[in-house]
Amino acid sequence: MAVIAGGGWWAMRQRASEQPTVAAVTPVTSQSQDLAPASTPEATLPPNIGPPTGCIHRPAFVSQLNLGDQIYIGTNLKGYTGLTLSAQQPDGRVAVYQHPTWDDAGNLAAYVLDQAGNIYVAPAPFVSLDENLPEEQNNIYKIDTHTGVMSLFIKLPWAQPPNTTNPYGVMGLTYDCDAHSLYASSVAGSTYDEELGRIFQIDPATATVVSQLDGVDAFGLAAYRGAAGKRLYFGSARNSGIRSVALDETGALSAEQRLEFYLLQAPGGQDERAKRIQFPKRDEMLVKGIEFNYTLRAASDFKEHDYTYRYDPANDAWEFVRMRLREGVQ
Amino acid sequence: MLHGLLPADKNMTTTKRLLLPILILSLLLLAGCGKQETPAPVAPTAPVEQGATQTAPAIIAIPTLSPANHITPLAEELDEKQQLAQNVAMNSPLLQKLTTDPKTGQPLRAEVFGVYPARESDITSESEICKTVTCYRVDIYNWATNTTYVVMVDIDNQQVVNVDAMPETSPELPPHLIREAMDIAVNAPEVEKELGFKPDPDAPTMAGVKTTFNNTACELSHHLCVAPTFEMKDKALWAIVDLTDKKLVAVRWTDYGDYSGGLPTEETVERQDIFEEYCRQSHELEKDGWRMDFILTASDGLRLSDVAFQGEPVLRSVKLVDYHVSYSTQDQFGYSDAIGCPMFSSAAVVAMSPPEIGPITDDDGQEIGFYINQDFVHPLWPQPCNYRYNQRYEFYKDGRFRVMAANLGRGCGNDAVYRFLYRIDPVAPDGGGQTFAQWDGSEWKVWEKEQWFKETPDTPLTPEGYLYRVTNQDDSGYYIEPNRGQFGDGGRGDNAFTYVVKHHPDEGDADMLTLGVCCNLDYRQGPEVFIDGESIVDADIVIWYVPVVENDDRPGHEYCWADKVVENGMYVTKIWPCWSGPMFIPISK
Repeated sequence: MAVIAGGGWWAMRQRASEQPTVAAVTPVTSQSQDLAPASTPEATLPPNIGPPTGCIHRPAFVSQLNLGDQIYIGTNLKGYTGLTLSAQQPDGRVAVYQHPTWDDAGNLAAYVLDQAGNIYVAPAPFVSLDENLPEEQNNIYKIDTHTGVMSLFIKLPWAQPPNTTNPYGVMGLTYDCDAHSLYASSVAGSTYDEELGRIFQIDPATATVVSQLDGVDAFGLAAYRGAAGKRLYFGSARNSGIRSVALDETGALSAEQRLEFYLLQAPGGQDERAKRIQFPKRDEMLVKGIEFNYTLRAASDFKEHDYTYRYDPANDAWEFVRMRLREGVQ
Repeated sequence: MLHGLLPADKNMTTTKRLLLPILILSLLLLAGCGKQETPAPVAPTAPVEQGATQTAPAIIAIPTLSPANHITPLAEELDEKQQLAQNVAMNSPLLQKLTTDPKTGQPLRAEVFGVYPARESDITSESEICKTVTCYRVDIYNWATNTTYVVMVDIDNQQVVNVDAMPETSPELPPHLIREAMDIAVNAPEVEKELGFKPDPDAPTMAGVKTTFNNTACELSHHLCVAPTFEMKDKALWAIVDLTDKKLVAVRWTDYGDYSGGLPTEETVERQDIFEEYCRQSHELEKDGWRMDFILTASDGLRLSDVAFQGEPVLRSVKLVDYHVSYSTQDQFGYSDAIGCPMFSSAAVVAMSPPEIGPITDDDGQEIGFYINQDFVHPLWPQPCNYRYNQRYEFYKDGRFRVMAANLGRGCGNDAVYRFLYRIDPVAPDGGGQTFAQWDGSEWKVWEKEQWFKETPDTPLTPEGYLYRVTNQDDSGYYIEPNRGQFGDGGRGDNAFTYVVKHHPDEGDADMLTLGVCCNLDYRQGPEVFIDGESIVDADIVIWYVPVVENDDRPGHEYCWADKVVENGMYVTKIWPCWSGPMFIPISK
């Protein structure tokens, strides 16, 4: 069973002078974590090494909401379908805001922001398909930074359409500030026998696919500038492997994949899939691993593991640091 | 005070470190335990010098075990210090508490697995005192909860310094269990079959029992499992042994150094085997005059097709499309659960065991038919908001058959209303049309057009208990007897919605997406979308049967419910299934 829905949280700060007006108040019971990239540079690393995510900007419409100082984006808030913004209020309660369009695509999961503060978000079924039709799971939606309105951004081309034996489409999203490219992974149409997923490089300005890698079922993904150039790291949806491909200066995907490591190789590592890959520090990769078998999940407790790896520039490789269990109820 | 500590060489996560102390602290508070435990009554001992340093005082006597102690000591020879550390740990009120069911006070099965002088890596900030006194580490395993307690014991002062609880983790096995696991593996016919020879008892290696065999190896049963591994030239045979139930769970080959296939565990092996055997291929079954094909679907449960009796076609197919569950006290809260294959499916609750086929016997023990049962379960069941469903078909030698389904708890609350969506597609032996009729209290009234009906306890039945009738052109066919609790399976009645529609292949012949929504309690369960006024007299029809069943958790009245109880020191799950489904009885010509 997969914990697909709910891409976690992304924190945004706003000016302290803005007063919150609470749209709806709901205590948040799910776990949350500030996933904003750390800004502390590691002194020993050359300055060009690190994730190309520094341009990410908060959505402009957020300033109109007066939600509070620190705002979280979530796609797994209990009681809500779709994307939400949450902010803790001075009295300890949590204000939740949801634009009327943010549940139009059913349950959502992966999301990412760009340098203008637009939010790109992808659907993923949760428990059942009644709000997530298979043929809509390869769509990406865009929440406009100025209006907050969510609308269809792009329908990604699939090798085969999603179906009842694999109801999933887009699994991961990331943004590269160097090339101003959006990357998406999709497993649409893949079967037990055939790996038909794709990784796409998308031009956000034109909503067109610039380059793509075929025959890859990938889950979470993220770009990183290493000692030997920039690579797109991605977790396989079919095993616990983390792989990568080189990106050229335009952000185009190369065809040659490199196996980095398996989560299973870590001490205590599990046969999990990398739902999300992040770089909380310039030299640190955080992989969120979950169980995934191309089935839906029942509503219940979830169990995830966070795997941390440190970058070794001399070998352009990653070394395991630690693993943590994260549990909760959804 | 108890702290969540972990030696550096254990796979304890930070979260566990944070959460476990809270859990255990709660237990401590409930138990009224203080910051420091009172040492158990002991035989006369030398006075302990205050501020003792690393020089341990002489041990005068080893504390005797409390008569009420239920923890099994280590079955190995121990030296004096080990014995002392073990007894202090076992006498600890905290350990006694942790190995006792908090609800009933019944002792749980627990055993000491190891007693070692504490290594430097065992000492953490919570057991820092062990740098100045002599400490031993005692590993105690709770068989009932699959939890390991690492107990740090100060033997100088005969007290427990710290206890670290690690759920779903087993400690290093004591030699007698290693031998037992080896014996089970070596003597298993499955191992001999895979290897092609009976292995020598000393051949299996226990390499990496702790590290290469994942501590979630028996994820479904939550049992203590190990994998004696038979290493061949370029691959290895893993024999997964369940030491709690003392049986072989599975065998699986792995290639050295290949992580792409994952590690063989109880769950992964089951998942793979079921998918390969029952999701990718159909099976034919012939028994007691019946023949049929069956297959596990991606989202419609176990589907039977081309069902015939004595060579005459009866059903084109029958399956269970969805389970709807809503909670009456929570507006529009619920789920539409699809059941199906454990991989590559749109099921939320999946098959984790193969279909079971067995005999049906009457009160005299005579075999009168057979059943096919398919279990669908969430791995964490019966924890709250986890579900278990059963699908069952019964076929009798006299031509009767029953289509059944049940919920086995536990769901998200005690106010659940379940609705099971059966799709039953009957066929006439001659391929002609069929006619559906309902008993109105005095005669059979034919349903002229597609429609639905909701049965209530007051709905009239024939003297035999029949509500509906499906007839062929030659007046043969079946009566349909609704479940009103008369079938002896604990069912309390279906109060079902019945929809009859004209057969169209695109209305459910193939695997269906979620049909309807979770929380409608009226006729809008999903099949109503196929009702559009078509004539169903002498037609190819499909019957949708949707029982409405409410759960109950009141003691003595449990229904659609499950709970854990202690039996012989182990947790076992007690179930109160709510069986539903109508019986089909052949019409005598």
